[in-house]
Amino acid sequence: MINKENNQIKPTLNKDNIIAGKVWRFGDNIDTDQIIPSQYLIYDSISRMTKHAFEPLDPDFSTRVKPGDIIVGGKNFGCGSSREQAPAVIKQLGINLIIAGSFARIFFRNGINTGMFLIECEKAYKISRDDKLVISMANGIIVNRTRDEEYNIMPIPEFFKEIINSGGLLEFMKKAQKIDHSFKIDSDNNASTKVRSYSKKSKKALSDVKKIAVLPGDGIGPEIMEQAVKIIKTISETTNMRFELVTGDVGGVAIDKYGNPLPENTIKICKDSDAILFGAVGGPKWDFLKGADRPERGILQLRKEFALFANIRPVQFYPSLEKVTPVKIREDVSREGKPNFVLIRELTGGLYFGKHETITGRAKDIHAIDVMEYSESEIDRIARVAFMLAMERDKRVTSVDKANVLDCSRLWRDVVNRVSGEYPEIQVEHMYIDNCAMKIISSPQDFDVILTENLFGDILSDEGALIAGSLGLLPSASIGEKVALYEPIHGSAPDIAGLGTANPVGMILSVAMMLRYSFGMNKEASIIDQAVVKTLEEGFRTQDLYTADSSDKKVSTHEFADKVIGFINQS
Amino acid sequence: MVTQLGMTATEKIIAKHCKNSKIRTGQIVYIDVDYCMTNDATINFVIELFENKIGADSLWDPDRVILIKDHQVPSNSIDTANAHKRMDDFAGKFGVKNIYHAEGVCHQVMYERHVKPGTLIVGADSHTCSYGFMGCLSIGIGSTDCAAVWASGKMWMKVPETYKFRLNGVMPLGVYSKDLILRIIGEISAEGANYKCMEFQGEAIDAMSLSERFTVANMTVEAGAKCSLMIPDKKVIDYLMQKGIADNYSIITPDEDAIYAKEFHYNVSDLVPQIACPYSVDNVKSVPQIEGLKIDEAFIGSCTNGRIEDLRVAAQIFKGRKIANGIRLLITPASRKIYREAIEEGLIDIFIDAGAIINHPNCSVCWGACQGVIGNGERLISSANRNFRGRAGSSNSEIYLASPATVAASAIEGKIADPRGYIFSKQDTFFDS
Repeated sequence: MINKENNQIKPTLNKDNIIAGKVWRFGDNIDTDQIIPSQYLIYDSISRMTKHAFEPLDPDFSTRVKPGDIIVGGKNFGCGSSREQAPAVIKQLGINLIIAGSFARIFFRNGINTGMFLIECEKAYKISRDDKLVISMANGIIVNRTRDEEYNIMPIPEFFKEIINSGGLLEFMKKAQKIDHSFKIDSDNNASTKVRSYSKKSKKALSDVKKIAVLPGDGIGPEIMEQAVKIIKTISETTNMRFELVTGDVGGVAIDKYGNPLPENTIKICKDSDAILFGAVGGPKWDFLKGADRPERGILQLRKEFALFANIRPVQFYPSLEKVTPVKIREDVSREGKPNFVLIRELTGGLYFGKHETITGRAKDIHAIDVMEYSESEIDRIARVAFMLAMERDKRVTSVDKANVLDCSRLWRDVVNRVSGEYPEIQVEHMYIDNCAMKIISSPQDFDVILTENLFGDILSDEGALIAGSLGLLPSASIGEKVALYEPIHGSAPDIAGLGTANPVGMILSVAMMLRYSFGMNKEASIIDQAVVKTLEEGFRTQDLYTADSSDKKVSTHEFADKVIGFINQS
Repeated sequence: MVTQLGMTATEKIIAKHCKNSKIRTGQIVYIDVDYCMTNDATINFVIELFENKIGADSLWDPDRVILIKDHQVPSNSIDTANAHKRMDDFAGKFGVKNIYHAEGVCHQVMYERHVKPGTLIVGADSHTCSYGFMGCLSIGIGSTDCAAVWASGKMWMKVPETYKFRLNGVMPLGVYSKDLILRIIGEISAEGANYKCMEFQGEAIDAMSLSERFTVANMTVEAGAKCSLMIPDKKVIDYLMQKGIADNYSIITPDEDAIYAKEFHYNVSDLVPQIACPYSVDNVKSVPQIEGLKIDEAFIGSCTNGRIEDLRVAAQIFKGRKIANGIRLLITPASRKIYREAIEEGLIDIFIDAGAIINHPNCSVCWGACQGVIGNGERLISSANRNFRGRAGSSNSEIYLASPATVAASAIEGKIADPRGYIFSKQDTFFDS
């Protein structure tokens, strides 16, 4: 009997190439009675059973197979009994990889749960005994070196990859920390891949110091940022997490000091940080400046500098604000079913980043040209953000485009469909932008994750603000391959700057998003979210939300944040 | 438009068990399990994983864990005896009261003791899919899943698509639900419903006894199905009333606009007896096509066709007749309850007179690890569910799967035979009169 652990192929789904050992070829409908006959199941250990593996088909199999060899089967491999002894004896013989035309359900599940690597390949029948194979997971192909052929493999869903890479279901459950020491799963969590922390440095232990770049900007930026800092301090006091805040200039205030909306020093502060908190930029004072010199360049440059290609904007309906939102929610929508969706907007491509040109050469008829351009890889990476987020939510993605008119949209749709193949659990729907703009108002409760390109996302996110009731309520996260940036979606509101009436909710919720996505502090993030809900439920309103209603209590920016802090301390 | 789509009964049962009313096909969810059943065939492996790999020191709920000795009862080897003892010790240590020592085949015992409409049951045996006939969502799982459920009461699952089978018409005399499900598997293939739920509706299903419905649901895994479902009707409610169960279950029906991945329509009125030939369950022919093939052994029993209704059909054929010379006939009632009823109704006398070997309820010849094992080159006709190579003994033996009536007729003739020449009235009228 052979069992040399060290020679086994350890399947790691992120690795590019797996060079397979000798191929053992079996036919269609290989049932589990062939893999391990019934009479041996009662044995008290898997190792006693292994010498009988495939006995009815090949009595010498167990003595001739070598660790690292692979099994190739036809259709419906592993049908019949649920006996997990079948994948277990195969694994015990040092085989961690099975390729088949298709697998029977229970065998497939048992294989995944055991941490084995099962690949479905329609062309498996083309593989013969002793063929030399290289499996390239990155490209999704099997290369048959003996026959000089390539076969596509079925994508493996993320959830299964995580189980396999953990070493099996039991290890996955322990690792996913969905269980405490008594192995109980947190019942509120559906199985899903965790949305990755987008900050590269986020893997440090929780007691580490987190560096946050604080960029208040112009207008109401400084006063709402002040509230954000208070919230961070409160969280720091209630956890063992330490934060180091470093302030930088951005926007108009940076133009005034350095003649540049995004000075080098600010870029350096951001690069040295684990996350960026951004207030708002711009104001009438700088309106005379030309495009490239305006304060808004500050944020655009930041997006570019840190490749912040994905903008995440959660939109939530607050029942306590029903009277200020102009969007009427149908009465038959339950409280739990109230609108709560996330808009994922592509942020560094499309029309806004294409060529802009105004041609004045022709005497009478001036031309203007803006170019919309998207590459496959740009769409691929933003789609993955949406799918990963959807896995954490209701597993529904609405991809918004204008594929009946635009080539960019047709490519968009193709790529989204391809990526969706890796997430079979997620329901994908494509919707035209014009229809979506209407539906987001008429039935906002029907959306879960909306994925769209830059221009459409810009428009839809303002519509989303209507559902919440005020622009001041919405936070956002801009993520990329490096440090992520968090900012409220509203602007610098110069007309009310310094009056203490600005709504700090969008900024405070941006802090919650930062804790969740960059630092993995889901619990603390939820506490902040809940504290905001409670503050609103208690009737506390900044000016933008205040109505003459008797239950409304008008408060200043500072007072509102203090109420939120009160509720954080209570929880 | 993203609107709440109509849901199938299966989706509704899953939704109820993961507390998420908005689940959709293809979604992966964690479900709360009502019962988890494990039998002696895999008990060693599950206990090993639970105690040593997880290192758990308690069950999530001892009253929801069910242990059944059925695959090798009475024990046939020292290994079996040790496994049974390990099961007993485990039950004692962890406080499992629902342990059954020789009550019958696990799925029949589950039917008699635990299955209720609207519940969600998992079992470390592929034929756990059987309980769908009572509107219970039941799924066969492996040992790792089983150990995880023992520890947590939860399991990950992908919400399956549903195939709807609408079965109309009236079954002809001498043709049974086994013939119907064999015919369906023959048409859709052994992987035709892989990962799917098979839901059955229609007047042919309505007309069937619960026992016949059980047979249909039981065989769905042979088409690869994850689970099966029939919407409980008055027959199910009457059965529950008879057992004194008036509440604590829920009849879950599909929405009118439920989404089915595929729909199949059959008219059963012209169906003839079917038989699955070696070595896969989808290698189905009609009995007249292979009539006359010599057999060595005949078996009536198993969770598929070992119920009192099946024994009555067999007795109808065996009454006053003897099996052919040189043929072995093994009859194994599916449970102790059925065994007793068969004695009381005089069926066992008929079988003994016909020349049968009667076994205590267990999995018996259905899997070749316990009794009635067949030798090199031998041919078995069986009322069970699998005909894989070597499933009942030697790897060059052959197994043919058919209804109890076809098995009985074949035992009498010593060769595969059409039962329609033996059946002149519906079983129930025959014995009730």
